[in-house]
Order: sequence, then C-alpha cells, then structure tokens
Amino acid sequence: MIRDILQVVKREWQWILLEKRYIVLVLVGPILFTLCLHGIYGTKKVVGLPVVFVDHDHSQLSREMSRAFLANEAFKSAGYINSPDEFPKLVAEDRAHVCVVFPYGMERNLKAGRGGRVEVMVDQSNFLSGSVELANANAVLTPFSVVADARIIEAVDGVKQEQALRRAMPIDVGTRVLFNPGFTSNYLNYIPVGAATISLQLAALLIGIRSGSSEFQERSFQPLPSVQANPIALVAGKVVSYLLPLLPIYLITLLIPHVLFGSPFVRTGLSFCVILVWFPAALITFGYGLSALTGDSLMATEVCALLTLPNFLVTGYTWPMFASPKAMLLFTYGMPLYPFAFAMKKITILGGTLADCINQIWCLTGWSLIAVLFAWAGTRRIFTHHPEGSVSHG
Amino acid sequence: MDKTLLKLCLREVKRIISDPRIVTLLLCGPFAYAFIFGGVYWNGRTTNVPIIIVDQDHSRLSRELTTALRSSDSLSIVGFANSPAELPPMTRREEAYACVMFPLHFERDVLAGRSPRVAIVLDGSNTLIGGTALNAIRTIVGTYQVGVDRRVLEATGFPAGSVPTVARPIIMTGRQLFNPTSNYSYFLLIGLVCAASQSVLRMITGMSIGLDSYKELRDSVKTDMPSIPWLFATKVAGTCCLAIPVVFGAAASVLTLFGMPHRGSLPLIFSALAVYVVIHVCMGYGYYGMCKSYILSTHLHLFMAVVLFFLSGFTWPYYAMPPAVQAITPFIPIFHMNCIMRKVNLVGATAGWVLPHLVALAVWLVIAYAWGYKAFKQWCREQNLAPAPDSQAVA
Repeated sequence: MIRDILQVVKREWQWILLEKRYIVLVLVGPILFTLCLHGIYGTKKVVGLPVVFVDHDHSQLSREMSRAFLANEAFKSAGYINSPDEFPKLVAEDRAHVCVVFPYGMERNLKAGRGGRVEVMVDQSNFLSGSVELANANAVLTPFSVVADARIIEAVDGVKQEQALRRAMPIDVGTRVLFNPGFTSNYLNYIPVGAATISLQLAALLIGIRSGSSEFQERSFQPLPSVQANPIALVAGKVVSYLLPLLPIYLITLLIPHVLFGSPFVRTGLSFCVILVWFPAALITFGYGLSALTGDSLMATEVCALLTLPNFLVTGYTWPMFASPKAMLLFTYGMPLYPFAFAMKKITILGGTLADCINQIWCLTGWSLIAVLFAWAGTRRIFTHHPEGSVSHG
Repeated sequence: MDKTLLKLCLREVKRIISDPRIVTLLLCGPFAYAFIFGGVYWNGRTTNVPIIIVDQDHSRLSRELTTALRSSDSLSIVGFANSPAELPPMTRREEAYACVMFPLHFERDVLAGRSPRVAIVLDGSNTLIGGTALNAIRTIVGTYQVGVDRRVLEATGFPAGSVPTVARPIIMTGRQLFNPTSNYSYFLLIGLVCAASQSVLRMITGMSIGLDSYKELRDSVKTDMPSIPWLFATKVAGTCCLAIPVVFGAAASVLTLFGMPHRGSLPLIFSALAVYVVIHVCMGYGYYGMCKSYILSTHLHLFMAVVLFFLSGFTWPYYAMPPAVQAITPFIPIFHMNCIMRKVNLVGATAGWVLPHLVALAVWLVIAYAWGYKAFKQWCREQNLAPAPDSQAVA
C-alpha cells in the first residue's frame, strides 16, 4: 500500500514539475498575496484624512479647535473653504474627506452660556474612513465640551474645579477590548489574517484541479499496474503528493502576519495542526475528485471559481453572520472557506481550541465527505475510462 | 468587407453563447455577485450583536440601563453572567461578543455624585461587530449621562429650564454625507460588481481565444480574410456585444433592486462601464498571450481578483495606504472605475470632477487594446504555423 502511494506521489511530482509556471503561481501565490495585503494595511489605521475648515467665527476658540483637529494624527489640513457647499466637489476630487464648520458667534454664544455648535461633515461614501472620521472628530471635541462644562458649572455654581469636572462626567464608561487591543486603530491584526485564507483555499483547490482530468488526456496508469487494483492508494497518493508541498506554504503564509508584522498568534499546538492539515487535504481531494469526475480542467476550474470568488465576504469574517438574512446563512455555512477562516481565527487570535470550533468542524466534515465522494466517483470514472491502463503515456 | 466583419463579429457571439462553460461564467459571475452580496448586506448595517450583562449592583438604575440596552436594535441581550471572565469562551463559541458590567454600588455612587463606572468588555477581533456594540452601548449610556448631569445640576440649584444648555455647552453635530444611514451595501456592492466583472471578463476572453483556432476562423470566412487588426477588432466587438449588456444588467440591478442611491449622471456611469468592459476584454487577450494557456490564465485571474480588489482602495481607503502602495493603485483600472462609480453614484460627481479617472480609463483603453492586439497577433502567427486546434494541448 505504502509503496503504491509512493509510486503515485513520484509520478505526480514528475508531471507537475513539467509546468514550472504553474508551480510558481500556486505555491508562491499565497505568500505574495499575504505580503501584498500587509503592504496595503501597513499603516494599521486610517491616518492623514484631509480635512477642510469653514470658519465663520474667526475666534480664538475656533482656531484652538482647528489646531486640536490637526494635532490628531487621523487628520491633515486641506485648507479653509468659504462654504460647506464646496465640500462635495472636494470629496469627488479626493482633496478633502472631512469638513468642520465653526458657525458665526460660536465663541460668543458659549461665553453667554447658550451652548456652541460645531458641525462636522464626513464623507460616508467609504464606510471605513467615515467611521474613523466621526470617531476622531468626537474625540477631538469631547475634551472641549467637558472643559467648557466644568468652566460653566464652576462659574455659575461656585464649586471647585475638580468637583465641577466630576459633575460634568457622571458616568464613566470604561472599555476593555479583547483579542485585538488596537481595535479600530489596528486593522492589520484583523483583515489580512483572514484574507490570507482566500489564497490558501485557492492554492489547495487549484493545485489538484488538473490531476484528475489529465488522466483522460495525456496520461494513463500504464507504468503503475498495481495502482489499478488499489484505488485508495491512488487517491491517497494524489492527495499526499499535493499536500506535502502545500503544507509549508500554509504554515509560512499563516505565520507571516505574526512573524513579520506582529499580528497576534495566541495558540499553536494540536488544534492548529489539525485544521492546518485537514482543510488542504479535504480541498485537494475535492479538487482532484471534481477534475476526475468532469474530465475537464476548465470546467473544474469554473466550479472552483464560482465557489471561491464570492467566498471571503460571505464567510462572516467581516460582515457578521447574525446580521445577514437567515436565508443567507445556508450559503455561508455551505462555503468551504467558512470553517477554515473561522477556525483559524478562533485558534490563532482568540486562543481557542477545537472544542470551540464545533460548527466549523461540522462544516469541514461535510466538505470532507463531499470530497471523498467526488474522489471515489472520479477514480471510478478514470478506471472505467482506462480499463487496462493501456492508453499512451505522456 | 463590412459583411465579413459583421459575420466574424456574429461568429464570436455565437461561439461564446454556444459554449456552456463560458456563457455560465459570463452570466453567473457579475449577477451572482450582485445578488449574493445584495442578500448578505440586505440589512445594510450590523444589528442584534449578542451581548451579555454582568449586573453586580442589582439596583433600579442598572435594571433601567439593561432595559434601555435591550430596546436597541443594534444589540441583543443573550443572557446574564456572573463575571466578565465568562465572555472570552462565549466569544469563541460565537454566543456573545460584548459584555456590559454594572459594578457594585453603581447606583449609590451616582446618587452620591461620585462618578460611577460602567465597564464594557468586547471582542475586538471583528471591527464591525465590536464597533457596532461599542457605539450602541456608549450612545445608550450617554443618554443616561445627560440625565444624571441634569439631575445633579438641578439639585445644585439651577433653574430646570437652563440646565440642558449648561450641561452640554459644545454640541458636535455629525453629518454623514453621501451615505447618511451608513448602509454597508451602498458602500460595497457596486465595487464588488466591478471586481466580479473584471475577473469574469478576463477569464471568458482567455477561454474564448484558447478554445478557438485560426483554421476555424479562416473556414468561417468564405471570401477574403480581413487583416489581423480587423480580425482582433471583430473579436473584441463580438465579446463586448455580450459582456456589456451583462455588466450593465448587474450594475442596474444594484441600483434598482438593492436601492443603491444614484445622484449623478447615469449615462456617465454606463459610458465609463462600457469602456471598462472593453479594457478587460482586451486585457483578457493580453493575459492569455502571456500565459499561453487558458487554464493558467484563468487560475492567475482567480488569484489576482481579490488582491486587485483590496488594492483598488474600495474598502481600505487608498489614501490611508503606505505611500509605496498608494503609488501602485492609480495603475490599476478597477481603482479608477470604482472611484467613478462611488463618486458619481454616491457623491453626485459630474464628469469634470472625475476627469482624472476618466482620462486614466482612456489611457488604459489604449494600452489594453495594444497589449491585447499584440497577443492576438502572436496567436495568429502560432496558429498559422500549427493550424491544429490547441484546446487539448493546453489543457
């Protein structure tokens, strides 16, 4: 049995080495992909958003507030404009994404105890930058609000400054962020780790996609008569031959965020290893089975394209599953990337174990069964196609 | 001559339609994206984030706050716990993502004017979930904060009418322009359709040329064979005849079925989209010429699809990327198409406002056409030397 498997492995390696560009694409692709994602998210948080000011007040307070905005690293000055009406054009030209309006009489009203109003217009056409803009504007203006609160309470009520400050903020909200302490200020810990699984999934599916169909074209099992009598050895040999070069790629790709860019990697150990081997083995088996069953690499690639193209965004990794309509959950659970992306997140970022990944294990089991079924049917088809293993050997 | 060109153009259309593999991809790709993501982002914003409450105070105020949290549609209280330490395992099991804790003597401290603390513990591993939970909890607690402010000031002798003004001297009014409800689908859906179209168009063009042969092409023209530039033009036109209506249909479904607002000029959007389709059809030829195999070029497109989408700056804004990456983005066609789509649709930009992006698309059209033509010319030369169909060999 072992000898048969090794024979198949040797034969597969000889064949895949004929197409070196393919090897480069499938094996180097995931690593380049991950490095590229880290390049994109290299700044870790949204900084340097261009902000314009509409200062109708021209007061000391408005100037102080402008300086406070620019002292926040999320913003950089894009100048002053005369009216907020000019802002949409600046957004379209990418010259400004935030507009702060200090209305006429703001300082005067504040001194008179009538309350001041600052209008912050944010470009919400990009959800991410819009949220960051609003949160940072709030962070800049809150201290002004609290200090003004305290000054008024102090002046009107005659209480001490310390006491006035306390009265201005009666309920203190303390926040503790688990698993990604940087939270909104560190997207590098969050997106690239999950997005790297897209390329890993593609690599596992595509590396085996030609191995089945090629048996109908230029290859046959003529030199391996023993394999004819042992279909399990054939499938095992095919899976092992692709899994062995792929495992180091999986490991390197998953470790790049941690080693090079400092993303959290809470737990290794058994749970990590099980998922690391199980997922690619299941997908390689599926890819081979699909390819053998269709007998056409192109059709098998198309099925993979339809399975993988929409995959990441519906896995619930970014957009949470509980916020999707219930009917879409079936779709999410049916995607092969869901169990891998989520299990890896739970193990490496949340510090979980396999016991915390029950849903993902069920899904992975389902995909493994489908893969085995496809591989069994595909192998049967290959043997039916070459009953005596006598087709010319390419 | 005109009839020959028309005939060749129709031949290309017929070839694509008659190949179920190509037509499935062409029809399913952009529409599937529009419908799948339209369904996933149907609610438009994150709602019902499961949270737990740790109430160590068991007071009237903590119960009132719990009721207020329960009434928020952003949150869903899934249970009460004894300690915040129970949250991490629940998060790993996807049962709860945040914990609100009312400490012991919470109400007593409020009444004594001692500034009590509400603790929020949350899962930061998903920004959308954590951000939604944090904002909702802060908003609700903030309203109580104002109420307590008011009570404290009234107790110190302020006339009831003037208390609200004094309690909040600087009011920040946030105006979320262009997508006031922060609807996630408005922001993402149209870009995903562009991304899907990009990959699908390049793939089907690669398949189309890979499965064709110069001999068949020559046999289909009984009269004089047109020159290679004309042949290439007919192939591009034939593919675009099918691709443009499909991509238009997918974009229109986003605008009509999923309610994405469009404030700008529709002719401008669809003109840009038509140019974008032609660019990618031509690039499909270019990539095929580079890979010399439709399988390899299809796999290459699959790998590149997501990278190009991320690089286009559609989710993570390009102006927040490191300068080296920012320098790359203008050289990607999808970046300009996404900018046009978002700015014209959401911001209401005119052609003048997005002129740099339109010019970039025009430049890309010339480059892609020249690249595609070069690859096609090479293909013709190879096919003339070896006229047998290459479909089996490359597979």
